[in-house]
Amino acid sequence: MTAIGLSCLKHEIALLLFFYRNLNLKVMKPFIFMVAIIATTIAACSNPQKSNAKTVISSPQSSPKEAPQNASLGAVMTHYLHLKNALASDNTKEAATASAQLHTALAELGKQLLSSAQKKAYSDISADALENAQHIADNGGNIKHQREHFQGLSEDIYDLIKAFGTSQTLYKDYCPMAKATWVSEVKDIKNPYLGKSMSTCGSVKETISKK
Amino acid sequence: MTRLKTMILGGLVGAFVMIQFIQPDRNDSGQVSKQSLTALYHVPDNVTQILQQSCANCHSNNTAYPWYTHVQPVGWWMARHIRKGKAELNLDEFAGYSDRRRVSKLRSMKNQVMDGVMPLTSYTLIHRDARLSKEQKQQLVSWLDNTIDSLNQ
Ligand code: HEC
Repeated sequence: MTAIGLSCLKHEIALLLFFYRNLNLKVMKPFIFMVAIIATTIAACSNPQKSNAKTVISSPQSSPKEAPQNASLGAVMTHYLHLKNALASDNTKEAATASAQLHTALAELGKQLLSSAQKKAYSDISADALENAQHIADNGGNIKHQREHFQGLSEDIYDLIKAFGTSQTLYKDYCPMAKATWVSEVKDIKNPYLGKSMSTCGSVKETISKK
Repeated sequence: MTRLKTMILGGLVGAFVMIQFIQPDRNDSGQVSKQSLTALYHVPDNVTQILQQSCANCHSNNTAYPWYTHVQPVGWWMARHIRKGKAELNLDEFAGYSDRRRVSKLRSMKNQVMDGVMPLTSYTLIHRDARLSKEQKQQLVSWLDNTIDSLNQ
């Protein structure tokens, strides 16, 4: 309760400062001024989601975006799939770039508003996933080493999907020759461990439907 | 001309003597860790031996310093390897890793040994007894394989 009260107060002070700095008060009718303050204050204080987000995200710089009830893997998946496709086409430099972006997205995910189940999964998985992403990012030019870490990373990502859900249909693939799994956005097999030399090794083991 | 040469040589010797006084911190806890890999899993003697002689100097809290590491800049070079090596893998703090990371580290160990990346070549060039024979590699890898499998169940 006090947290909500405090954030309302902060909101009002910010608003007053805003009007004071940016508008010519002499021209402004005091009536409009009052209505504007009351209306936006009510809006800010009666939206529990928003005030909740404010108490969780303590960084004052963070823009008060609409905090979703459940965080999504959006950016993490984009960069993981980019990485996967780069490895499948033997492009080690692009894999390194994608993995650096994945690393950032993974770190960002931890700053979002997470449900308690998501939080638990994140704290179990993130250290390992970040470490794997870092190694792949640092080893542009050494695709063998990148692929070694891609194995663990893929398992981490799969477990994250299980906890966070997915907004698109995904496939979990397995290749017995590489003894490794990966997650794909397409049904066709394009092997990220063996690359172009053995592109079709593997099969879909599981379809992960969106939810 | 000879005077100049003597001065340069003297300068170099002087610099060499000077840097001997800059000793890096020693990685030597002097304790047997209860958190170590060998305390966590059943590790057969031959594998313990391999880890001890080929990996522990850079991947544990107790480095057995050969005499030449007391000579700078070799000691600095060693200290840097230890710092980076321990950040990646610390055999004395293995029990502190989560289940997920234990599997991850064991897999990395296997990959590094099979790829011939570890122990570092720059190190085995001087530190000859850290080199792994084919049999030793095989023993280490098969133990790692078994342990990874048992953890994945
Ligand atoms: C001379 C010191 C030294 C020795 C001896 C050594 N390492 Fe390393 N190790 C390092 C350093 C330094 C790194 C960090 C990698 C880098 O920065 O290149 C590392 C990294 C690693 C990693 C993480 C690499 C990754 O990509 O996941 C593993 C696993 C590893 N070593 C295993 C071993 C094993 C197993 C042995 C023994 C067979 C061993 N090391 C012997 C110095 C050493």
